[in-house]
Amino acid sequence: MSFRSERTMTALAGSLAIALTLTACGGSDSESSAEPAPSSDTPVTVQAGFIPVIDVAALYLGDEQGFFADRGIDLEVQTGQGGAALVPPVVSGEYQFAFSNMVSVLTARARGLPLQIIASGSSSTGEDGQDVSMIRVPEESDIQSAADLAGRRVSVNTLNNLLQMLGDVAVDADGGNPDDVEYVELPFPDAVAALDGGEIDAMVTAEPFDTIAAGTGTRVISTPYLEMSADPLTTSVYFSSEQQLNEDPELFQAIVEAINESLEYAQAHPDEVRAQLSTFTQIDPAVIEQVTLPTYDPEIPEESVQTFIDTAKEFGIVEGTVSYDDLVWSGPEN
Amino acid sequence: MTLLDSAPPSVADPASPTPTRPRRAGSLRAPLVGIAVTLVLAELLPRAGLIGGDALPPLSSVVAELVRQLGDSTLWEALGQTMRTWAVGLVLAVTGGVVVGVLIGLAPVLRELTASTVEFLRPIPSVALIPAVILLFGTGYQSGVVLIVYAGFWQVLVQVLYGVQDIDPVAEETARSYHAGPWALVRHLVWPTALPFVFTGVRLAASVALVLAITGELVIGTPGIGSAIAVAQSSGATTVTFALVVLTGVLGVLVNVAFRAAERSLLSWHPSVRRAGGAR
Repeated sequence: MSFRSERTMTALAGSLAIALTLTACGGSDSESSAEPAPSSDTPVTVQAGFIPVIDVAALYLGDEQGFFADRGIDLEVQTGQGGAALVPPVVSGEYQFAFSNMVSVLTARARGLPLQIIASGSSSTGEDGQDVSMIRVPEESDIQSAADLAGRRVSVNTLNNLLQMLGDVAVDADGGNPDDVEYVELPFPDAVAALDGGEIDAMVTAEPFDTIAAGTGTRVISTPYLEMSADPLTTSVYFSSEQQLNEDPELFQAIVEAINESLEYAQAHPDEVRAQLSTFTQIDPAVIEQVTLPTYDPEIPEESVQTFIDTAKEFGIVEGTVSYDDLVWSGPEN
Repeated sequence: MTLLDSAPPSVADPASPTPTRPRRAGSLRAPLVGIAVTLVLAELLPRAGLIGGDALPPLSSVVAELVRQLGDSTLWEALGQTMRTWAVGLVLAVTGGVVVGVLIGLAPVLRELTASTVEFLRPIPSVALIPAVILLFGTGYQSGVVLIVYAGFWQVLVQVLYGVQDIDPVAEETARSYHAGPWALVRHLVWPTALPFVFTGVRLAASVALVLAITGELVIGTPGIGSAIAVAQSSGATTVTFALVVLTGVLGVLVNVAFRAAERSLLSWHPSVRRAGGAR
């Protein structure tokens, strides 16, 4: 689960609010989703914005299996590098939905962006030492557990986002004070090198960079998702905008069903998920064989979302109020 | 940006001195030595293990990867997409900059009215506009074009303004006393005077346009070299990433060299080129 440059979600909210006001009249009527319920005779083109990470492999696979075509959806995938690239087109209606980690959507929603989660993207594995995000230190480091991170330099891909929250969770659960940790923002590839070179003391990883870091003489000191909850958590999601959801609930119901069928298929066929990775990423084949795949589970348990909301608030990642009902689309019945 | 700004002159300069200058051989040696040292360092530093992990692959493997990529049609497709964005954006930026520049430059009132606005808008980095640009223009190549036009327009505009200001007062008085019409004034006085400035603006805009074409693709994800770099980077494929980065550097050098050559041949009549052996 590597989320490059998601920082922008936060910075974005402000500039988007302005831009939204400016464009309030134009650009919001989406042409492609305006059509009525899709059928396989007249396919509806659906634009989706993905980040090129392991999690979205499930949808590439599901599309290849025809789960979208079966529902009259012609899925067109665009890739972007995080919130700055993916949120504006969803808000403007150019993209019908996009991929994000849970914390970024929470942050955006808390800041008033009209986004809603439509489906699960991926979940943590719930397995100690075998998760999609871990905290790693060099093999020879004197750091033994998360509490030892106090006063140390720890890298995250984006400050004040998911991985920093995971760092805080781990330190807190181990009896340390998260405020004493010095977080450094580094892109994953640079962080692996910095950890190896000793410029940072620890790294919060996300696949495939956990597997890559495992190959450069590092060891795991914490599996942070397990410190948040003993059960697997929904860690990434697909989201759309309230306006689009209201305009064409039937289309989105069909999209959600196709996503969920894709997730179930991906969960049952991990080898095919790995095979998909070489089609849209440049991950080294040796790494692809070893990466820890997330759990693909269509279910978005309310407790899971609530745990994220509570944790993000506790560590000051998200300000303001967000509720499960605000955040997760309840379907076309409403 | 720094790569594009600093590298090209060292490559382009050697060709520019006129034959009357005896320093030709000397001025050719310095950049070549510079390039050689850079190449050796790029090969040896990663091998010496000074940079951790595989973060910086040695130059030879980067070049090998680039050669392998060049045999792949997807790279050429991406290259074509990037260059299309670049070309469309550059043409629009230059056209807009020249037209608006001449208009503003010729009317002192307009010049005073717009001066502070231009100075306010000019430093805003195009990249900061990306979210708003996506909202208004979508995620296609048009957004890249908009970013390029925004950044390149000012480069050209400011140069044209300087150029128009550079008009010889005697020539202008002469033209006026011969009752030259506005069009004749622009065609025979303003344009020839401003042309070297225009070329400088175009050359600067061409480099900036390339940076923004690639940055736009990197951030927005519009297909092209930039999005290929983004995918390679988020996959941890450092050699591929650097191969593509080297390719963008080469593109930058080529663009600069081409525009300098065009400048020299088209402005060979102009005193600034005849005298200095290169545009200002």
